[in-house]
Parts: sequence; C-alpha cells; structure tokens
Amino acid sequence: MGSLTASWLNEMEKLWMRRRTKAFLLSTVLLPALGAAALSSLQSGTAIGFGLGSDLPMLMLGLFTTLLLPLFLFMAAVDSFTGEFASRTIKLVLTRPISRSKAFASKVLALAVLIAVSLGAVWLASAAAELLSGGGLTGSGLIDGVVAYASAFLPMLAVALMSVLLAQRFHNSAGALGLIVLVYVLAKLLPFLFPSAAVWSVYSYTNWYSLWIGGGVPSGKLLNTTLLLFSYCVMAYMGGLMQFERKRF
Amino acid sequence: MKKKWWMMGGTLGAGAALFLVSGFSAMAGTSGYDAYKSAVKMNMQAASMTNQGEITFTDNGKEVLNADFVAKIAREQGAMSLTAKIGNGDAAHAIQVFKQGDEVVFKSDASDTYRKLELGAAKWRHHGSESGPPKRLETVVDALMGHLKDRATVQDAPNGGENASLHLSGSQIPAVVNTIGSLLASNLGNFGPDGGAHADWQTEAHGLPDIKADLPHLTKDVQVRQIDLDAGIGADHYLNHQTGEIVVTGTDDAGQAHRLVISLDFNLSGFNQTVPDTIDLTGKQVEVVKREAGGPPWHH
Repeated sequence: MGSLTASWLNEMEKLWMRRRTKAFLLSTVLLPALGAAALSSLQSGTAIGFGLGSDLPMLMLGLFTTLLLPLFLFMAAVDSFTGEFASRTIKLVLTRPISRSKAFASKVLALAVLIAVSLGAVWLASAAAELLSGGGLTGSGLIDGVVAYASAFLPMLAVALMSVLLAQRFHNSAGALGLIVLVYVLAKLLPFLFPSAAVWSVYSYTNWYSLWIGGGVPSGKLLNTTLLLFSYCVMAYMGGLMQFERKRF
Repeated sequence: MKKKWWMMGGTLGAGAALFLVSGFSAMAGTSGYDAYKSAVKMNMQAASMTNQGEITFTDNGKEVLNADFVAKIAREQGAMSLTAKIGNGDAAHAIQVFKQGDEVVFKSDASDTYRKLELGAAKWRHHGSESGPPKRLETVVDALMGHLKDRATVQDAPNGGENASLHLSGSQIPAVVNTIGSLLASNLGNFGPDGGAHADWQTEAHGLPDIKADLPHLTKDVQVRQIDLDAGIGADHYLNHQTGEIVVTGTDDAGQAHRLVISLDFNLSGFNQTVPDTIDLTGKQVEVVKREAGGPPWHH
C-alpha cells in the first residue's frame, strides 16, 4: 500500500508541475468569476442573458463537464501515458519497487483526484461568485448544486478512463490527443444520426448530473445509468491495465 | 501470473456483462417521452381533429389575458374553422375565422362585416400521403432533448390510456430553455399598452377586436421558474388532452416584482371525423382585404 501511495503522490506532483494544470485550475476559479461579472453587467444593461445569471453553478457545471474538463482530462491522460512512453520517463516509474498494476492505479488515482479537485473548485468559485454578485443562494439550490457536482464525478471518471485506454495505443502525444478529441466530437454528434446511440455512448452522459437535480427521475433509471457508467469505468480500467501490463518499453 | 490474467479477464467480462444488461434495460424502459412522441405523431397523421382549448396569462394572480377557442381542422382539405373569445379580465371579444378553399374569412363581434382574404394557391400544403415532421427532424429533436427525456414519466390511466408528464423547476430547467423563455417573456410586455409596438393592422386591417393585455414589461431578473407539461393519451393512442403551465418571475422597470403564469389547456377530439364549419357569404356584408406589404407575417 505504501508503494501505491508513494507512486500516487509522485503522479500528483508530476501533474501539478505542468503549467497547463495550474492554468486549468486557475480557470476553474476565474471563469465563474468572469461569468458572474459578465452576466450581472448584461442584467443591468439589456434584457438579454439574465436567464442564466441566477444559476451560475449549474451553468458553469454544464460548461466544464461538456467541454473544458473533458479536454483537460484528455491532455492529462495523454501526458501521463503517451507522453511518458514517448519521453521514456515511464522507465523511471517502472524501475521503482512497484508492480505495474499499482503504477497504473496510481496514475488513474491521480486523474480521479484531479477531477474531484476541479469539480470542487468550480462549485466553490461559482457559488461564491453568485453570492457576491447578489444572486440569492437558497438552501435547495445549494443542495442541488452539491448533488449535481458530486454526480458529475462518475461520468468524468469514465471519460478519463476511456482516454487512458486510447492514449496507450499511441507513442506520439499529438496523435493520441488528436484521436481522443476526434472520438469525443464524433461521439457527441452520433446521437444526431442514431438516437439510440445516446444510451450506449459514455460521452452522452457528460451532463448526467442533470438527472440528479431535485428528484423526479425514477430511481430505476438512476440506478440503470449509474451501473452503465460504472461498467464503462470497470471495462476501461481493466482494458487499460491489460495494455499497461503487456506493454514493452 | 496466469491467475492475474484470469482475474483481469474475468473483471473485464463482468464489466461487459453489466454494460450490456444496464444498456439494454435503459433502452427497453418505455419513457413518457416515447409515449408522448408516438401520440403526437398519431395526431399529426389524423386527417382532421377538433381542438377546444384555453390559454390564460395571469400576472401576480390577476388574469390579464384569456383566450377560449374551438378550432376544427381538416388537414387534408386544407380547411379550418375557429371561434374564439379573447378577454383581458375587463372586456371580451369574440372572433370567428374560416379557412375554406383558398380564402380566409374573419368576423369579429365588433362589426357585422365579414373580411375576406384571398390566399391564392397555397404552396406549403402537403400533397400525397406525406404527413408529420421529417424523420431527420425527429432525430435531431431526440438528440437535443438529451437527458430531459428521462425526466418525462408515464402512468397508465383508468380509461385504458396513459398520462405522460414532464415537470421541471428551478435548476432542472436547462439554461437554453431558461434563456429563450426569459427572452420571450420579457418581450411579451412590448405588446402591452405601454410597449408601443401595438400593431395597427390588428385593429384596422382585419377589424379584429383590440384587446389590450396588461402584460408586465419584465426587464430584470427574468427567470423561468417552472414548466409543467401534462398530456393525456387515449386508449386509441391519440393525444387527447394537453395542459401546460409556465411560471416566469421578474421585475419591471419600476422595480415591481411579477409572477407571470401562462396556462394552456387543450382538449383534442373528433379525430378523422371533424368537419370544419363553413360560412356562406351570400347576402352578407363582405369586405375584401388586400394584401399589403406591412401586413402581419402570415400573409406572405
């Protein structure tokens, strides 16, 4: 267990040392603040756009889970796997007294922590920005926010694990990132051609949190989609681990 | 070593099994959305129907606009008749509209004159058996609805039919819907007495009664609070009852808070059996309305 923790902390530090991680975490705080400022100026200026202002945490969650967080996770997964394969720094990880499965687990764990921290930061920043810009935070709105942000974790983890699975097929970071983004865009467009694809594709669950707000969705449906996302996580994790175990460096 | 691979393979297999089971059961669940969609398609394919309905706008509990109407529509013949009563809580007017052949006839209770508008050959009318929205549109709407579809519920009704409903409030209302709704609601006031956009053609060109609705002019903190849609689907699979309630709140320029409630209640009946009313203009006072460039948009 000690080796896993040590490796996980090491992976966290590697992520943190990257300038883009710091820039992304800064954006999780800045964007809600900018959003609140823009919306309040729109509210007082014209009659357009105010519909968004009163629910800044939800608006920001939509923006981050649909676009910004997946894109950042793609980059982080590519850095952590393809990047290390390409620069051969992966050998430094594997020469440590740690099994490959633990090395893999520590990398995934670092991504999971990154998701949790990002979601937490966006929620705190947008709730604070809303409060400061004069929007009333009600008790039920607060609970809805916490539930929505917490439930956004699972689909984001599934998306990250899928990126890990894909990233390991490549030895070139640009190629890996290009393919992962292409897959994401195509998967987002697929339901427009085949509606039934929306049920099966993990990428159509990025705004899955909307089902958890304020009740009203049958619990069978929630359980069903939770299991679907969980199964994606299991499959992508195991598929990724098998690739990682067999890989020759 | 072999054991480890068996473990990994086994877990992967279990994940795949869970994926298939949960995916198929998610697909199989008949949602309220599917039930509603198939009922709407049935209605769109009906050759004719009667829609008896009521639309009410209330502002802070005071009724500011109310319309009662009975519309008889025969899609295949391109014929329609409408009798409506429009009131604002203080005054009410009745109007009649007939679309027969290539002409539309308007009559208001404010005058004895029938106003006739020649439409010419309607280019948009469907020919042949094609009806309802194109398949592509349906797919796009399905995709845009996203997880909202999962919020629609369906329950069996005592009459052998089904009741489908979609209730959204607060954060459940998607930001796009909220923005468009707020924008529409804030512009509603432009057609009120203070809005200045009261079009003259309403009263002069067609002799339609001039009912001034005292709709609030919302300018600040406009937000859609609640959307409740309920539909009754009959045992014959037609959509026979539709109600809707939309609650919008906001404040006007004077800082007065408003709670605008828009309620719709439609009863649909007489599928494939409705015959629209017609009007015989012989011996009646008729005025032929010329199409003008500045007319309302539906004249083009």
